[in-house]
Amino acid sequence: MNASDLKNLGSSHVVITGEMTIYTAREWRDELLAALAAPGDVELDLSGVSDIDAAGIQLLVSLRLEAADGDRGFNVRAASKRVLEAFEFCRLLRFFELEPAAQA
Amino acid sequence: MAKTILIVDDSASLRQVVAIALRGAGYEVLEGCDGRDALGKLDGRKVHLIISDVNMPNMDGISFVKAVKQLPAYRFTPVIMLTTEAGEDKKREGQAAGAKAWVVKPFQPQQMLGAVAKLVLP
Amino acid sequence: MTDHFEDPLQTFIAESRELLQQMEDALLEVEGNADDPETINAIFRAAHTIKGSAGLFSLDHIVAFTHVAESVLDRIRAHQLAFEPAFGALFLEVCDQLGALIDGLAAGEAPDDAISARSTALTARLQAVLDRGATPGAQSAGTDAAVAGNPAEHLMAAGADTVASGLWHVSMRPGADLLRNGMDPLSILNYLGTLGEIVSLETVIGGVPPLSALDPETCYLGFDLSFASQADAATVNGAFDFVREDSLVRIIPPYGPLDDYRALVRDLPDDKLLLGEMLVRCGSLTADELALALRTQEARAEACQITGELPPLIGEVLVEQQLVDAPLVDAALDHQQEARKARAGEPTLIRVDAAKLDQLINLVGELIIAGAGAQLVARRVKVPALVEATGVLSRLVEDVRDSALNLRMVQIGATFSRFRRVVRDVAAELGKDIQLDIRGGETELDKTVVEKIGDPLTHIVRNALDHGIEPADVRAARGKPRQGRLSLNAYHESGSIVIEVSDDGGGLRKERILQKAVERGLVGEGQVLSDKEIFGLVFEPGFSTAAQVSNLSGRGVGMDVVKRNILALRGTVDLDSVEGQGTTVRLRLPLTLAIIEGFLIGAGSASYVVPLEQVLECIELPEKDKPEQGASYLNLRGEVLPFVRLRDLFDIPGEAPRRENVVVVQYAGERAGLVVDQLFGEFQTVIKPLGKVFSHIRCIGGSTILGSGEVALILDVPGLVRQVTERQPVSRHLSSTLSAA
Repeated sequence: MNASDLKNLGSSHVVITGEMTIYTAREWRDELLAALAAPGDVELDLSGVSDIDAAGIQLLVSLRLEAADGDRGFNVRAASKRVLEAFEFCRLLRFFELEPAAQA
Repeated sequence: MAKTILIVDDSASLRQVVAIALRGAGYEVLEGCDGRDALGKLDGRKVHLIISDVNMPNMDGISFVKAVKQLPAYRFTPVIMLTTEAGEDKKREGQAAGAKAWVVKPFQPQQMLGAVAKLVLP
Repeated sequence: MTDHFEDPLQTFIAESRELLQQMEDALLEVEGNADDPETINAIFRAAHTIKGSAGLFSLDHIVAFTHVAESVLDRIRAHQLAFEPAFGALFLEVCDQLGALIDGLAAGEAPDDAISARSTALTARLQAVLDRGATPGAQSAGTDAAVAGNPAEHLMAAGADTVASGLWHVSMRPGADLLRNGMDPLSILNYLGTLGEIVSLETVIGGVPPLSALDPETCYLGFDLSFASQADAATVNGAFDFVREDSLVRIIPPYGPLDDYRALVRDLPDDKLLLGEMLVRCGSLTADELALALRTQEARAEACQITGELPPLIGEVLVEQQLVDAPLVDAALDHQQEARKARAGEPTLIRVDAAKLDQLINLVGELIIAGAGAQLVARRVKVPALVEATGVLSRLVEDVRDSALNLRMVQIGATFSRFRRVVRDVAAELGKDIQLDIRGGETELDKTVVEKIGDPLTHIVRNALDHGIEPADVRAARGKPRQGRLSLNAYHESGSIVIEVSDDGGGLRKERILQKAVERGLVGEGQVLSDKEIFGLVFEPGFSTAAQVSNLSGRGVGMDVVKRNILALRGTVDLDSVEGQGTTVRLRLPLTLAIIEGFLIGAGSASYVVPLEQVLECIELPEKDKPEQGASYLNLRGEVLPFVRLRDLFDIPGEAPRRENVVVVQYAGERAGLVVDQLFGEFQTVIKPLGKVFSHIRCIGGSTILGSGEVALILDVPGLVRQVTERQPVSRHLSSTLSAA
């Protein structure tokens, strides 16, 4: 679990790896809050997320809504298959501006 | 990555039947023969679900669930209590301790798989 | 609600005029040829179809008038009454009168006294004919059925209380501690998904707070979903056993009471406007139903005030205050939807004139033919670079073909959904309680096919509703659930789409069918038939086993038309039935009508195409296995294979070559061998319909143009297999017809 906060080009780039579930939701919320505190667009890399549940999803929903409220760009750069499947199940792909996972 | 389930019951045959069904459905299975033995298996490894009997020697199911909920790594782990038809009180006691799901004994393996599926994604 | 009907009514008017024209043509034809059953059938069907559709629109004056005419025609059709010369004139008058009634309908006018008087006079004349030719006891049943009960009343009663959706609706608002207790709503919904199919789902995110105020272990999400499932209520409820205690879960069964939805809107903590919109988007409520639910609430509150009853609950008042004004609601909903669309970047759709698509498909067809020609030339001149280039070209052309055909592919779901209304209305009219299950709505097929299966499907569905499913009392007496079940199912199977209409009704009674067939001379006395053959009789013209003639479909009309329409689409129809348990009618249709993968074969100097998907294997016919002259079975690796020589089938002159080949074809489980001279291999086939001249030739489904410019006939494998396995006499003199053309 490590988040890097690269403040280049005026955007916060958050990399989330491992679980994004009720067990780790508190830590990830704090990471995401830090990213929001920095100016500029919010970019997420979710390609390393191994598992996500409703707790993880609502964190991302909240972040997405808050970025929009603050007129900031929000972009999921990459997402793991598990994340895409969960978004697809919740019909939230469009909300996160993502394409469905490729059928493997 | 397969999800891991801990089954705790003093009946070896019951553990075996449940374990076969769960492994057949693609889960990894750990076994504990009573509460104390099972607590020893919770050594920090990831466990996605616990199935526990109520009446067991050494440490009964209710005490076991209470103990599990005190462990930071397992406080959110869902627990299925194995109750009996007549065990409404125990069921309520278990729920108060944090075991929100239950399966009534005797059960078919298929019923157990259904209950498990409600709690962990495949 | 009225504009709901406007479009179909226009269709009804256009369709009726067309049918009346056909009726008139047939009447003029029948004057010279009174005993052609097909012509009599055509007259009857026109009347029957108009009456059936008119019933759906509650056009009682048309139903009543047409019913008597239809009854007379039915007698004639069943040879209980001879077609007298005077009947021609009488029915032409009927035809004109129906035309006048339809014109009145088109003009939006109620029939005036003169028209009504003419209806009455004609009805009396028809009734006189009926009484004259009646078999004792049967005569009055017909008219009574038409007059008894006003269908419109049933419709209103049924429509007011339950919703049209055949889906379960589930609203789930997880309790705050759900996640802490180790439950993930996604797992539960995923489990629910294993009990059926989640058709649509909405994640309610209105309750999610900003990150700084968010407790990461509290659940803020909610879910609304619609769900298709055969499971019973206990099973669906059971999915939520573990969360019911601390979460709000509302489950409304298919065709649930509108009141339940009203309560749902009241009880859920969400924004009422968004919630209503969501229910509509889920497909659980139609916009009309939502408006109706909200309006009724308002009316109820007023009634309470007048009668001095207790005022409605505070929650209800709240709802009223927010949603009292329907136009306001609509405006607000529209506004929200617009805003959302702008935000989320909806997928962009372009509406294209279907004719343009057809033109594109035609051009692609020409392209394929031209491509095949180029490839042929390339192979002949044997320039490797050219062969390679044309190879690449033909692969691209195939891709273009697939994309072009794909443009015309539509899901069958929309067609299926139309039947929700039909089932509800017809069930109400018949006084039956029937649930419609739809599966496989996402199955795709060519738009042109979709357009053509609507009518046959309607016939089958109505037959199932009318004759298949028993009245509730009969069902209860037989130990079945009072509610009947009709399912529509679609799926792909080896290059075809299969559409199934199943009911859990009384099933077909084999001995009754057989007896009837013997009575009508379709089957000889003492002839032994397989189940399949017996059920096949249902598709013969004028066949009906219904004990009672009802207002809807009761005369077995339709099934013969169904069969003919489906055959015309290169499809087949068959039927399975278990007495007491139900009936399944299965339509098998090609995915597209335009282009097929073919297998080119030759006999004599002519070429033929067999659809590749129906070719099982090709083998050389070994000298020793050559069947004797006049034999009809081959020995294929020890198995008996019925076969036919194309040379015999089409009377091709000349001697067969020493080495012959067998193409083994299969259709719907039956196999047959075609003995041919040569195998040419796979071939992209653009189907050109055959002219009318050839329409009487069996075993030919169409023609195509080869790369060389020659014409090849496309073999109709279902027809061939049937012919070969049933050993019916073969059509003759095809080659002479061909050369004459």
